[in-house]
Amino acid sequence: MGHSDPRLVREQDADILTTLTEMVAFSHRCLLLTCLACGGSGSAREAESPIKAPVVTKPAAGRRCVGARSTAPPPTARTTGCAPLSEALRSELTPLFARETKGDDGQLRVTVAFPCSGVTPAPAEITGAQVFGHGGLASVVGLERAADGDFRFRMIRVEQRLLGERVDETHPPFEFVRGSVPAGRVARAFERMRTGLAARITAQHDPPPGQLELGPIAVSSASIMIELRLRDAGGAVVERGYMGYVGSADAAERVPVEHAWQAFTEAWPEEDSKVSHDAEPEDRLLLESVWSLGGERDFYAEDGLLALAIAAGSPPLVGPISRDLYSDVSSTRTLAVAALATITGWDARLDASGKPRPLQDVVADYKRECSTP
Amino acid sequence: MPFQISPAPELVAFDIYTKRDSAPSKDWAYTKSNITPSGVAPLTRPGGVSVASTFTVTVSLNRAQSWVLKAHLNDTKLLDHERLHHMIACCVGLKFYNEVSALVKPKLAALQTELTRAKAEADNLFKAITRKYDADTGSNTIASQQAAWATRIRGWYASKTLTF
Repeated sequence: MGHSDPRLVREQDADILTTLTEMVAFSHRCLLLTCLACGGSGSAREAESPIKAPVVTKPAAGRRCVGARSTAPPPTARTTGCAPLSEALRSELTPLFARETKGDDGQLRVTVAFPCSGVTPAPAEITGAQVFGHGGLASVVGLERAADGDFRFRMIRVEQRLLGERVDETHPPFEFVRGSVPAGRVARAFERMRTGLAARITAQHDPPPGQLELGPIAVSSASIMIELRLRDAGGAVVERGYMGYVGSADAAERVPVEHAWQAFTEAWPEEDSKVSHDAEPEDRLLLESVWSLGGERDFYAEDGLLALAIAAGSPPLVGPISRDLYSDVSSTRTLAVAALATITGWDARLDASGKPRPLQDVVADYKRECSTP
Repeated sequence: MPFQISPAPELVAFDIYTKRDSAPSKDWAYTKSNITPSGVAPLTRPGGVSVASTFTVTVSLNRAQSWVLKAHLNDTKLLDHERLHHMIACCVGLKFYNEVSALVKPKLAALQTELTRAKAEADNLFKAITRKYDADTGSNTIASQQAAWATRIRGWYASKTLTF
């Protein structure tokens, strides 16, 4: 099944490629993105930034697509510490988590435990990513303590379905939201998040003696990915995420993470936050940092991050994105090409006459130029 | 009625979904299906233990939790995509019913183990098919693939044979 009729897929790919090519052209105009990976100079905005420009690896002779070493702070090792949790919050969350895990299955026996947290209640940074499949919203969010004690907020988001639409320069699909949040508000959210993420839920059926037990299965059309990283003032880190099609079978894994994300949103600034359509260097660092969260992602999760990389990618992501060129999912390869074209400034998607080239030819070019031998 | 479907997938319409003005996910619709076994009693028979003839599986659309944006109530392509998600659940539910009905084990405990395994396999099968369906169709953005999958899923449903 799948790509049983490659001609039809290529027709569709060509259409998507045309749209994403327009999108990249738009990104180049709006984001002042220059070809750092090709040795070009950074934009004025990048030059003014306190963030150092990525260190470009020495390109092999003739290569048009090379990555760069990351300038993002190296992820701190996960802690093995065991900080106590609020008894009041544990009492509040236990029945909530049990109810949500149980769903429609009245016979399911659910146990919720909160052993302790790897981070203390003093927040330094929260980083997260959320992707809704089915063409929904993809976002990465960062909250980091600033010198004045408050927290700087950054969010990059894109409604993925809009990437398939013609580019409307007055309403670009990418949004960069920035703001400031009082420390107290972040501390409250952090406390709920670290408690939620500490939850360990077990669910099982115990049939009565001599009887059989078979509970219901709930399934859905919705796929989601949530990844979260909490860092406390002492540098300890906790990471936890969920990825899958929403259903009853893995509710014990999903419920605490969903709750933590909801708590995260309560720390976000109000609607009057600054919304921009231009990526700043810090936005690119945020996306870079999120890319290292979690492990291997399913196609819908990877597609969401690739969509964001079209607007906020950076040379250190060339390596990870190049691996997506080998995906068996057409949308992933298409988005990977679009992201690499934006990051490197080298766009191989159109032929000399300006017509879209077949996706397989374009992918082959990027594999040759971008992949690490 | 040992295997039931409610409603039949071809009768699924957005007027039975919850209508929303907007969704935080920015998705346009959400379909939730329940595969619900009942009457799961043991029956001792020559050769061991099986489930009794009271065993039933019902596949239903969760109307309260399935939703559609009001702006897309008349989107027939979206409806067909969502309808096929429910049809996949129906096909998986029938396969699950047939497998459980055919189980015979020497001891009750062994039968319970097999029931638990069959349930987990049904869940995994639904997710594997759904993932492939969404990946191939670009979540309903690649018309040719959507049409191919519609033929495939409707074939499973009509023949009562799921081959994936």
